Amino acid sequence: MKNKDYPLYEVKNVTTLKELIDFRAAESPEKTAFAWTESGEKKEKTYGELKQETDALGVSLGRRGMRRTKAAILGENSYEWILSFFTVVCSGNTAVPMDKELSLEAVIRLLQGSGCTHLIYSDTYRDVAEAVCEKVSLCAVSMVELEALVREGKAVQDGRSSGKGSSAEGKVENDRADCGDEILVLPDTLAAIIYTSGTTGSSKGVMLSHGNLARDACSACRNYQLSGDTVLLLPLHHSFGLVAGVFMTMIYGYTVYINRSLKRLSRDLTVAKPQNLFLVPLFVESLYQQVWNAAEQKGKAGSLRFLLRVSRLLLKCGIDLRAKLFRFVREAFGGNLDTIVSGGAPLNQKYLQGFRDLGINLLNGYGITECSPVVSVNRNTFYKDGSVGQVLDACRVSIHEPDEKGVGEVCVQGDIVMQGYYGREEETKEILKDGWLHTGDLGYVDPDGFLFLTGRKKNLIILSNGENVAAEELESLFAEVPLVKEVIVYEKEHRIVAEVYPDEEYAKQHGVVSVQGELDRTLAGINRTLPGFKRIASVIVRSTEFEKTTTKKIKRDRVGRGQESL
Amino acid sequence: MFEKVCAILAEFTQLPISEMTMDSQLLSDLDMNSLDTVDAVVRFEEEFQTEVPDRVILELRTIGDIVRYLEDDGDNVK
Repeated sequence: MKNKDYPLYEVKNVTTLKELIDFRAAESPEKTAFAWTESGEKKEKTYGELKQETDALGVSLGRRGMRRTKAAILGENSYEWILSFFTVVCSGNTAVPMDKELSLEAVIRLLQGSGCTHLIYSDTYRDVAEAVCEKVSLCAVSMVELEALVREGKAVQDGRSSGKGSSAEGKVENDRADCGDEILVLPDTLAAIIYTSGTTGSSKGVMLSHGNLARDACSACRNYQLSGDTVLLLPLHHSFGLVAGVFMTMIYGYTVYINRSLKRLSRDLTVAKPQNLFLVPLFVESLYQQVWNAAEQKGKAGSLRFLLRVSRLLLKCGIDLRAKLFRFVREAFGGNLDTIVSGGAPLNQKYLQGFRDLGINLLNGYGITECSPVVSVNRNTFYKDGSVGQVLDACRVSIHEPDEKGVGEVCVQGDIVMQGYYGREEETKEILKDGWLHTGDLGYVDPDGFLFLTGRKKNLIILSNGENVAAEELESLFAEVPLVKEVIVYEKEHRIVAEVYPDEEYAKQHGVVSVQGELDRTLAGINRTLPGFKRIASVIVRSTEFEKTTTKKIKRDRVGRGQESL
Repeated sequence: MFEKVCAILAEFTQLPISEMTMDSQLLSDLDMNSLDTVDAVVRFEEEFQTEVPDRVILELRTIGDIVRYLEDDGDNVK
């Protein structure tokens, strides 16, 4: 396989999520859509069953007032979560996926702020649901009840189709016209409000239509072709987990194996034997580390290193024996894994080659929730290391105010761009200008349409001489310094400073007498590699780690406010 | 219990047990990320024949949190 350009993959174009379910149910009704293990037993649902249950549940929830409204979904990854989501959106309602790590107060705030009238919750979060119901007036439905509600909905549907029905059912029939599969779901119908964690300010609800989500998933499938089943590891309340982990797999008609607990990760990979995985860098790094840990434990690390050298040599001669040589390594991932797509955060480049050496293609992608979320992804056999991939055909990317090297703010226009932030007109206007979504990310697009990211505009350091410096670019220079655990670079009194939370353990183990002195020496070395305007004036050593968001991103807006030095 | 917990954590962190205290933070002191913590919990479950719900894992921040959970969950600990 040569790494060169080739035509986009052909996939069915669906314009709404309802169309996605209808298409799959018609095309491959007997094919397993979702599988999982529950109480040691493997369970499955076909695409046909998904369609039937979505329709039936739409009927019974419609009887409980869920019509043209918003319903929050709270729970761990499960088939019930996915069924709830599809039911809500396919019956013309809007789903509001909730982050299960939120505090009770935050859950209440989001429920009230988004105007939800319904809450569908898993049994794990029963206590949260009960506490919410004491403060907010809404209809709470437990996922434990869904099976009974599906039966109820089917009974209503059956009564209707046979022409039977009591007077009460007659009322239901009238109600039925207002819900379920007779509801017109259009591409611009609001499907979901997905809250972003937001490293600055409070979280915002991103309004995504059916058209946004369906178009993005289809377009991403034209760039990247799945080769088989997947295991869903990403949380469903994140757009990446939902669109890549579920919709994209459905478009190709494969099976999504739902990992219900990370404790079962290894077992689920072994049982599901996935060909593809969608991951965030944390998982990528962890899986890679597991390969080497397992090799060390079995005393095979030396032979693994030897085999890697042999394999690289053979590859240079056009002989690819990776599938055979590293079968024992890939068994830990089920044995069939051929591709991992990473997104959601910057990926350390060393893992690209590391996995490729083992015969697993690791592809980097890029997206933001405001773009449904995928904007670009490297292609199966056309990829560039360091790039986040080719821009999807569902959007156009423009580089706003590029510098002499062509680097500027990445702006996106097209069907995948959100409708706006829910109830936040001003913030929407700030990010959506003349139809272009200003991502706040800096980068450039090469002649082959590959997007490269270089930093974040929000963290842009604008110096008094007019020079702009991306903080991340400087921070990445500290990545390999073992004494530095966390670092944030920012502008202070017209100078660039690096605030460092040192690795005290490392300092102790290596007898570092003065952390400040050692870091000053490190800085001097780094500065020697930088042009004058990028040089860092000083290192500030802090005694506590930086404050983080729930997604473990450092809250940059809290940095540089008088943290005491060591 | 504290010693047993530290012995398992030492497998994941390579840190000497002598440097672990009840107040040691999993994230900052032991340098464990969320996936490391999940892996360690799987070992605790095997060792103590108990089950730690995913929701509890999210709340485990220190060695003391783990020890207290396993001790309070005594009915399940054999």
